[in-house]
Amino acid sequence: MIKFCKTCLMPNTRPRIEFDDAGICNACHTAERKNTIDWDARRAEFLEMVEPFRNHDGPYDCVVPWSGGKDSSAIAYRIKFEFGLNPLLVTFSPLMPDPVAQHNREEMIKLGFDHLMVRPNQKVSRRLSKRFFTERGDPKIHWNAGVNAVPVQVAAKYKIPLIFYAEHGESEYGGRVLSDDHMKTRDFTEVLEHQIGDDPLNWMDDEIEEHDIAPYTYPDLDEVEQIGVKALYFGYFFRWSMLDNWNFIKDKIDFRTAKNGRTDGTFTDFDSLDDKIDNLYYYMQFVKFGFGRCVRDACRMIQNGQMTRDEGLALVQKYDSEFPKTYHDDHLEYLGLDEASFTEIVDKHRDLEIWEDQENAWALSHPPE
Amino acid sequence: MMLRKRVITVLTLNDGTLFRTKLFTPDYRYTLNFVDAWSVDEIVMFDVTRGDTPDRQKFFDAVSNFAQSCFVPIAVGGGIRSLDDVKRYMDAGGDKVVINTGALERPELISEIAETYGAQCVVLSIDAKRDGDRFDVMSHSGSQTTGRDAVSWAIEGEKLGAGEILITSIERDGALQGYDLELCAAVADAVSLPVQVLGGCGNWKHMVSAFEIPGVSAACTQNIYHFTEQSISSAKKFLASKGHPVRV
Repeated sequence: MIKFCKTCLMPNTRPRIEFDDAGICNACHTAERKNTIDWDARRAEFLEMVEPFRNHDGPYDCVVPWSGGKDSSAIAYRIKFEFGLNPLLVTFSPLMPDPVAQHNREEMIKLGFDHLMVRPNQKVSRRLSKRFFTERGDPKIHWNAGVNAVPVQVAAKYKIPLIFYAEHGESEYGGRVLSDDHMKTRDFTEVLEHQIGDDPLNWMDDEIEEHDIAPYTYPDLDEVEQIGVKALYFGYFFRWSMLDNWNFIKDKIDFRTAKNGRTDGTFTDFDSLDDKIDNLYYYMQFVKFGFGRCVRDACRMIQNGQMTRDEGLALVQKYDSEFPKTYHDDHLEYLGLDEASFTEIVDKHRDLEIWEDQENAWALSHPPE
Repeated sequence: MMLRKRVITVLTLNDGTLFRTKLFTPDYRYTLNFVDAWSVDEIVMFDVTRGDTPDRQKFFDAVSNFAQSCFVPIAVGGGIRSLDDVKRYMDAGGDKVVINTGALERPELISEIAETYGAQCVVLSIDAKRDGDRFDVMSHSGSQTTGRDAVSWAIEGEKLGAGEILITSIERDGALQGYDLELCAAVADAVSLPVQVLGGCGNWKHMVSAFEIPGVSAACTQNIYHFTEQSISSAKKFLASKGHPVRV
């Protein structure tokens, strides 16, 4: 049965989310716990932990997986200027790069960072995008694999023993938390099983060969362990909030936002700006699970005490179902689909527990309330 | 000639909706629209809806829809306790039934089904949990211990008339790290029935490892992303290239 969290707006259709008997989701519990954590102690733990990594044998102290967005830029900025570490910023290229994010990345690099960007074979990437959009209603499954694998590949190749990921999604936004340590230390297997869902080796076909899969696969994890690579969540040490990250970084650089004042399907203009395909990604989340980009953003703000549930609900009713029109033509071109096949694929992902077919229109059978 | 190996898609439906599970808990919903029913060798459909008397109508509807549009055998299961249950599952479109807790509660159920429908209609499913170097049989969707040993239960099931054994590693459910090969080998070694293995299949190499165990006749996968036509054809090509005969 579909139900919504009593304190935020997240439905139980979100993959792996856990609700307690009172109908409250685990992301809300995480948010509540943040109020009781001794953040000064966590900061001290951070400082003590990074000390041995300073000026180790090699030019870089840590890898920061970096999209150039507000979250990873806030982390990169703090790591360099507040904590005096020398990070290597590593970007796995967006599928359909948005110039706004390109500008924002340039602004950061100008402050004095080294940056490595990996852009894999676009013939393969487009082919996988089309396949995953069709089969899984998610055009960026392989991107998700790459954005996880490449920083680890870089850490292994350059022998950089520390990686800072941003936040632990399963606890922060709702999902399955395997243990307390999983909120601090990145578990590569968990990421593969939870977020990517199958092994990239399975993606070979008549045209895609094993070497084409290389950008999407982890290096041998035993080797990674031998180098002693530690992969940690920054959000474990410092209170995580996307709004705070945005407020932080916009004062530091000329950070540009979505040109229409908000992105498709939501009320924010500062989040997930680097990839034009994200607009479609969030829309497909809406189609598959019945909650869109606005529910996502509103929940984050409700959980962090930046918005009331009623305010969030009003925004959700206004924006959540909005079609990703801004880059729709680009999406069709990128996926090599015409309008009719696009619509057919979208509709095949509608789950009839979530959607009602109301003659020529689809309606949520359980709208947020 | 070597018998062809089978690749089996296992669909777990909760209240009529297809879910991936992890450690026997539904955790990711998916639609049935991408499940390839042509190139896979068999389909197993489980109703995992919990509760004392779950309404199974949506599950039966899903089975009927599949049965009408596909020509591969469909095995159905989830909560079967009696011959009456078996009849309802077969009427919905199942070609055979998979029994688990029902057989643990009343082992003669295996013989009753075999006598009524033939042994080929009874798949005994065993959910096993590792305990040192042995494997405990768990019942009620992996939630209760039974005190039985997986290998001896498989042997008993064979004696009672089961036609096939489906052995599942509970700990590997939803994982991508490969089958529990020791479990697969222990069971496959102990019985002469065809053995289907489930739990942990992440990539096609894992299927190959399972097929290297004599007696393993089918590699099952419960990963929703392995169900598509492209995935199955890629798996089968890989298996064939490694010398395992499959129906292409």
